[in-house]
Amino acid sequence: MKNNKNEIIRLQSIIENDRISTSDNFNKLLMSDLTDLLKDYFDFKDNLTLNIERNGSCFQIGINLLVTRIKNFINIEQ
Amino acid sequence: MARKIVITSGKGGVGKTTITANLGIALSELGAKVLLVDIDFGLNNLDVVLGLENKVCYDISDVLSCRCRLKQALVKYDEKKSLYILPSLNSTSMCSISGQSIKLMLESVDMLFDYIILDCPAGIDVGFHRAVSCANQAIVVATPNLTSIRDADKVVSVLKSYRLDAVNLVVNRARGDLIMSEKMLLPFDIEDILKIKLIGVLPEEDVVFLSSGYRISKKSESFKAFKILANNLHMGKSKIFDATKKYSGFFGSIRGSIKRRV
Repeated sequence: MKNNKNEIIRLQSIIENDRISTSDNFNKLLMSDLTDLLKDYFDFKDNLTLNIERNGSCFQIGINLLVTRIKNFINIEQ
Repeated sequence: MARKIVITSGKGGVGKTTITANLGIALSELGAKVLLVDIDFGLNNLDVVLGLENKVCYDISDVLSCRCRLKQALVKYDEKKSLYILPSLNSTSMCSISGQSIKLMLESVDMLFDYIILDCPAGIDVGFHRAVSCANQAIVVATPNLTSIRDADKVVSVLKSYRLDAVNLVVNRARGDLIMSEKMLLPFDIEDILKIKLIGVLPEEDVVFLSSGYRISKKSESFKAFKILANNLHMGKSKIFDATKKYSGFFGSIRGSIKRRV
């Protein structure tokens, strides 16, 4: 039988899934922006990987990147 | 300067137009000068809900196309009250109208009104953004069911990007008998889930459904609920209508069980 507690749990689950879902465009744009930003500070060969994980009511964003060199500031291209 | 409040929901059919109309009436009865603007192009009904469909000469497209002045397009609701509506157009032919042009148009009457209430179309596409871009506050309407709350949550997240002065919640179609028997979500539970402030609860009543074009009876629970909502907005009060009141106690429980069987 339908009752409030089950409905709230079900609703919270639906809403949390909606909040965490990202579109392909979102991921593509985010990866592209992050890569452009990080290029100013690091040399790297491979693409970065992005992890979005739920942590209670929040989300943990993890960025992994294998860096070959940390750029000296005077070498950063204008 | 007028408070520009957009009434939105995401999901269609939750009562945005009805709330826009009756909230406008309730605010005007408190002495405020109110303009209701129908931004739903093509599926507009604000004029019908208020019984003014035969008094509409010009609509918002006529104003934006400079066929008439804004004041010529306004339709007065009642001779005694300071409530006006700006009707929408019946077709979707001018869907390229931007929110910015409507915003500029409303600025010409900004100082004449205390409230400009915008009836937003359903969804979160072009029509929604057109309406929200004209507002500085939002009221999100949700009914106590999963689909409506889910859509309201999406609307709330989109509204954050507009950085409005306030985003508040109104729960419509609350059934006190179902809330008492724990078969319907409590409005305060919905407030917790959506994380926006609850400023009004409106009960489900046949009198509202049947009132299109007519005033809601002053004896009805809905009239009281709209009055409380208007007071909360206008006076900054925090009272919430209790939809379960008439179903509490011995006689209330009998009333509730009869209603559930009907």
